[in-house]
This record gives sequence, structure tokens and C-alpha cells, in this order.
Amino acid sequence: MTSPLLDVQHLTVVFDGSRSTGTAVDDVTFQLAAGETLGLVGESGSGKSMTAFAILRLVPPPGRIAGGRVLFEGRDLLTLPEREMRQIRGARISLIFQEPMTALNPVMRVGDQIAEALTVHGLATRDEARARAVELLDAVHIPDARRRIRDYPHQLSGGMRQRVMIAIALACHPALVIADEPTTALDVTIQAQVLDLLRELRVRYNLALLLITHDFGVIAEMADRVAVMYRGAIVEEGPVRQILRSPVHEYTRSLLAAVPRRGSDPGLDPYVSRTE
Amino acid sequence: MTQPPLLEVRRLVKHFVRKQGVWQPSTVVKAVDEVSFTVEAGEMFGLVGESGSGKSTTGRCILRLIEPTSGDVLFRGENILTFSRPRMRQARRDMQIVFQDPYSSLNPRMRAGDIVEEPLIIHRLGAKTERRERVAELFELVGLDPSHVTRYPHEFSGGQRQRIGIARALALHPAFIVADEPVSALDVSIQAQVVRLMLDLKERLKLTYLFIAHDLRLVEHICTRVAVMYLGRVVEMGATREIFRGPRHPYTRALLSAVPVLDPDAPRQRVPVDTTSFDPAAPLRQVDAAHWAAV
Repeated sequence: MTSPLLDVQHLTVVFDGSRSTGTAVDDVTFQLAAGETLGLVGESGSGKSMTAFAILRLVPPPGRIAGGRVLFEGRDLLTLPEREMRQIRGARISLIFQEPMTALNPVMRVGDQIAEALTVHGLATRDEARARAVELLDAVHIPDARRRIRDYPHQLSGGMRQRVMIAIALACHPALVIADEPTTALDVTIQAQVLDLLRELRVRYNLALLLITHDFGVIAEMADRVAVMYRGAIVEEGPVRQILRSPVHEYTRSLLAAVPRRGSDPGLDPYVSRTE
Repeated sequence: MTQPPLLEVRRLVKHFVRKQGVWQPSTVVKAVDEVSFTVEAGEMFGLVGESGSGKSTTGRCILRLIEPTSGDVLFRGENILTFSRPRMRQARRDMQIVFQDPYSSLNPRMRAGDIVEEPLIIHRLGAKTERRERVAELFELVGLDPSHVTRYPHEFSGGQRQRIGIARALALHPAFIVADEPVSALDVSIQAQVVRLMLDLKERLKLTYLFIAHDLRLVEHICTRVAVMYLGRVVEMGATREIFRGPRHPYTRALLSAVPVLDPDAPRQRVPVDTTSFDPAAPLRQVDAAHWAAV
């Protein structure tokens, strides 16, 4: 068996308060193989986003990584010098955020933002980077890419902006993309398009995807495996079919029971009052 | 049936004028374009659509939080758009709104009890002690601890904040509530609790809701009838079951096919939104006993 692309072992993130210390990520362990999609699911405050930040060593203070290892392509990211870490962030591992309007620079043309991802890592000259920006906008199916690179983010719709974010994330040929609620801010028809796009690109570039979401519907559409987080810890992990069909942990069950299903029988209705 | 519907919206129109610049002519955005529907007493009527469809604007026009450009809004048979200011203020006791975002819709500097009491003060109802009693009663009604009236909004969770918003809306004993995406900002387990509360209150207080939502899975479970809006118009309307089982309008079909399904092996037949496949100006026509579509 070959070693996984990403091997997170006993990762722990704590927040130092004035009186006590809180644990945001509690002894989290999981693996992700090349080309695989792991869904990290949980509600707000469960620690799923903080896990992603910790992998990239971007935990905001007063939070800090208190322990564990993050092995990526065989190296422990937590012990790398910051200079080498910068070569990994945005290049080998890239990040897609929920809200493209706040993640994109509002006063910079989208083509320049894509090109910057390449030039900042020294992967292309300015002219090469510009040509590559057009290719990438084509790859994420933005029509008329040659003209669109001159647009500012506010000139694009929400779905288009998310496509630009994905183009930036793909610019340096990453092995791993961390997508933190990539479609939560989008309308359902646009969400469907963006999920279709991610599925297509995942195959084309053999991407591993760490998909962070609170929506089990998105998990069912995208993930190979699922890890359920609750209060900083992974409480259940397994293949997507197993988790969705026969969840074992009480928390996973209650979370799945709260999701309204399409065309289901009333027995599964989450809004029927039950004695609690 | 001799009773008129509780709410009747007739050919409601709201145009926003957008000024493009000094030299360009201003353009008119038809946010709500000839929208008509009725809501029967005791019903939970769903108004669904994506952002920009005009569903929230419709909800606000019905309460005259935004003045409509034209059309009629009949509440218990009376056209409230003709009401004077004082008369409208009286009418609002019967028609309330619950907003989407429990983080921004509550005044952060006011205590929770004062937020719920404020409508009673505005309408000069009761002496101070009576009002305080009513607030405690409302807290209990929505499942909040009455001893928490002195707390500030930030001391409550998202779900609890939405309960404060609901308590405030119920303060004046309304018959009709516009719920504008009341649970979309909440975690899914909290959503279920708040929806259960709203359904429970509907029975206990005999409420009627206009439930505005973009989550079709939710609407399918709780609404008896539903209207689908697209670009300011109702494109399909009728019994929830009919619309979800046999959507007639191409946009409704696309919308339903885009909803993620919990089964990883379910066949996925995504229908893209194809604006050339329908006439955006087509009027609604009856396609079945309880089913209308603009086809």
C-alpha cells in the first residue's frame, strides 16, 4: 500500500483564553489518497474549518496547533520552515472559500488575480501567466474568457466569481484542494453547476478534494468518504454509502434525521414533533 | 365557501428605477411583475425562488414595508394598499414578519425582553406590569427561558435569536406572518427545531404563514401549497404534492433537478435552466385541478 497524499495524525488546535484553554480541534486523524474526495461534515463550531486552517498552518491567533502531524507528500507540514510552507500553500494545496466576493480582490482584474497565483510562486513569467489565465477561465467554463480576464469581481455573478476562485485554486496544478463550503452562498441551480464543474476538474487533474460542508446533500453528490465532526472531534468516518445508509454514531443519526428528504415518506419527516 | 381568503394578492407590481449614470438613461427593474395568489386561513403557503426572483420583495410589498408600484393586496377582503397611515398601523397588528438573519435583525443594544416588548409599547398595549407578564408568556411560548429577558442578543445562539424574533412577531396576536427565509441562516439540526416550533405555533395560535424560502426540500415538507417565482413572475403554482411530483414549467423542473439528493446512487438527471425553452411573458394557466403553470 502506498502512503496517502495527506495523512493527518492526532491534530489538535487549542485557543488560549485569559482563564482557560479551549480545544477547537481535538485529536483529529484522517487520511486522503490522491484523487480522492473526503467530505468533512459538521455544524458551525464543530471545528471543520479550523482543521483546514491547521493543515495550512493558518490558524488565527489566539488559536495555536498544540500537537499532531500533517504529513503531505511525505513531509510533515507542521515542522517545515515558513519559507517552504509558502511554496506549498496555494501551489500544492489550494483553498476555495465560501464567499468569493470577500476572497477576491475587488480592485484587481480577475485575469491579474489568476496570473498572480502563478507569478508569486515563480511558476511563470507575466506573459505566460496571462495566457494561462485565459486557459484556466476556459477550463472552468467561463464564456468569452479572453474578454472576461479584464473584468473586476463585481462585474461577475456569484457563480462566475466562484468559478474564478476555482481557476485561481487550480492555477499551480495542486495535488490537494481544500474547499470550505464552496457552494453554500450560491443558489441551488448555480450550486449544481459548480458541483458538476468540481467533479469534472477532479477527474481531469486527478485532484484530491477535502470538501468541508454542513450539507449532507452535497456530501452525497461529491464524497467518496465522509468524516463527521462534532465539538472538535471526528465521531464517525467511513465510505459515503455506509455513513448515509447506516450511521452508527448517535450524533450522525440525529444530523441525518434533521435533513429534509425529497419525496420521502412521512415517517422520515424531520418536522414531525417527536418526544425528545 | 362564503369566507374570502385571508390574503389575496392581485397583479402586484414593484418596479425599481436604477439610475445608471449621468449620461445613460435610467433602467427599470421589474422586481415583482404581475404576481397574483391567494392564501387561505390556517395555511402555510410557500413562496420559492432563487436570489433575484422577487420573493422577498413580494413579501415586503404585502406588508407595505416596501410600497408596491401597483396591484391590490386584500387582507380579509379589504385592500390594505388604500389604507391611511394610522389604519395601516392598526392592520400591522394582524400582519407580522420574521426575518432571515437573527444576527442582524435584532438590535444588539436592546435586551431580549425589551425587543419583544417594543411592539406592545408602540401600540400602547397594557401597563408596564401587564406588558412584562406578556413578554414572559411569549418567551415561554417560543421555548425560551423567561429569566433570560435581561440578556442581550449576543448572549443567545442563532436558533434562540430566531425564537426572539418569532416572539416579537407574535406579541400583538397576529393572524398572518410573513416568514422570510426564517431558518436559512441556521444549522440544519437547529432548522428542524425552529420549523417544528413554527408548525406547533401555527396549530396552537391558528396562524397563517407566507413562508418564503429557497430550500425546496424544506418547503416540500411543510407547505400545503407553493408558488415558484422566477425573474419577478410566478411561473408555477399549486398543491405542493402536484408541483413536486409533476412540475410543468421548465424552470421548476430545472430547480427541482438541482436539489442535491441524499442518496449517492440516485440517478442524477440535471435539467439546466434553458431560458429559450419557455416564454417569460406567458400567463399562468390551469393545467390540473390544483395546479397552474406559465406554459
